[in-house]
This record gives sequence, C-alpha cells and structure tokens, in this order.
Amino acid sequence: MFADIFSPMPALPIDRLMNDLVRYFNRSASATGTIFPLHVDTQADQVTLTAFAPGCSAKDLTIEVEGNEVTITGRRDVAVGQDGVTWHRRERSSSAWTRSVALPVPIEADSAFAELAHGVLTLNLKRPAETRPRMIGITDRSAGEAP
Amino acid sequence: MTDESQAERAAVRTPRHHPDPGDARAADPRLAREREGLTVQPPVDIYETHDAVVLIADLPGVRPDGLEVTVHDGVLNVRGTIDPQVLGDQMPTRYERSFNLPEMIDQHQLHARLSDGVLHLEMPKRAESVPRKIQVEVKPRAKVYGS
Repeated sequence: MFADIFSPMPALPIDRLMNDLVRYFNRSASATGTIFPLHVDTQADQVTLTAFAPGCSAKDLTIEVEGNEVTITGRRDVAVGQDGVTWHRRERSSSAWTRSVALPVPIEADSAFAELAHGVLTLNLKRPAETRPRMIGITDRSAGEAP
Repeated sequence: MTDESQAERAAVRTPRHHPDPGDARAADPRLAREREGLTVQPPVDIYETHDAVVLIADLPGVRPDGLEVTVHDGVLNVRGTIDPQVLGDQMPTRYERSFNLPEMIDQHQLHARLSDGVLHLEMPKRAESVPRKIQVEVKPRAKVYGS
C-alpha cells in the first residue's frame, strides 16, 4: 500500500561521486561492521584522529592504543522494538563495529585525550619530542660579500 | 588565454562564500555545490506508527544551529552542515537528502530533535488519515411475542 511512501529525491551525479570518494578514502583502515568515516590529521606536535560515531555515548565506545596502532570499538542499538510499526526504510545499522588504523608517526599513548561531541569522536595523541619536525636554521655566508 | 580558462582561473580565485556574480561558472549550482565541499546523503530509518511517521537520520558532526529541516511543495529537505575546520578535507562537510512527503502527513506539525549526531523527526499524520476504530453498537434483540 505504501510502496511509494517517502520516495527519496534522485541524487545528483556529484552526490554519488562524493559518496564514492568517501568510501574510497575509508578503505585505508581496516574495519568490521558499520563503516563510519575516520580521518587522521598529523600535525607537528600531535596526531588528531576524528571518527564518526552517531548515536553513541561515551560508554558505547572503547579506544585502545598499541604502539602506533589505534583501535576504536563502538556499539549502538537502533532497533525501535515497538510492535505494530511499519518499516519503510532501514538504512542505519545497529551492529558493533571496529576500526583500526596504523598511525604514520610514533605517538605517546599515555598522553591520549579523547572527547565525544555531536556524534563525533576526537582523539588527540602527542608525538614524542624526538620525532617532531625541527626547524633547521640557515646561516647565510654570502652576507657581507661584495656583489 | 581562452574565455574558458579565464573563467576557470576566476573560479579558483573566487572566495568560497563570495562568488563573483559576473562569473558564469560561479552561477552554476552544480559547481557551487562542489566548491562548498563534500556532500553526502545520510542513511535514514523511516517507520510508521498508528498516528505518525518517524524519520531518523545519522548526521554526525552537525550541531543544532547547523541543521535545516524544511518542507516545500510536499518535499521534505534535511540539510546539515559540519564545520570543515574540525574534520579535515577528506570528511564530508554537509549532509543533504530530500523526500517526497505523502499526503497523510500534517506538514505543519513536524517535530525535530537532534541528539548525539542523530536526527529524530516526528511527523504526525493528519487527523483524517489516522485510522479510527469504529465501535459497533450491539442492541439487544427485540423480543417477538406471539410467535
């Protein structure tokens, strides 16, 4: 009876392309279960890992750091559990999921700091001082020479 | 330099949120969407109860002030914006998805709630669309005398 209810508007070609790109970029990390986007940003003094975790609270998430590998495990339950409802779309998954990513630089696990806001998990990890990029001074020997 | 290459250079120079009104490419809505960043369609669950239809969408990273839910000409549009500074270039910066609303929805009574990056949108049915249970009155059978 409601086969056409909430029929989605057709996606623009650029939307489909962008969705494919997001999926492509997220193949770089291993994952099981639901695949939420994950992003690693390497800065001079720290590494920031950002992961989507919509519908998760802090108690639903676990973060493990071993060497330079970070593993995030999450779980959420989206089941409505109501009798008598009619489903028209079920695109959101409710299974447990795990994402593991090897960071490109060494990090100090003891300095890890994580926060969750608006369904986005942000993990900050400091880089050891000896692995941070250093500015090298340049001595200009040509100064004072006659042109 | 050809007109096309000049226009392309102009498009690159044009700030993201201040397109040059004289640039024909800047007026192209498809290119404008591309410049604004990655746009993805969020996954949704839609179910129907006795008196309402409920839509749940994953919008991680969207704050309440970045969420826009509109209804126009029977089309529901959900649009959420993420601060690109927070997530980096490889993450989506915007969600957008549209749905044709069925006639039975009271489009003036939509109620939206955003929590942990998940949108809950409750759309009550019109009163005349809510199934009503008709009480069947049972009258005692009339006694027939003299038979």
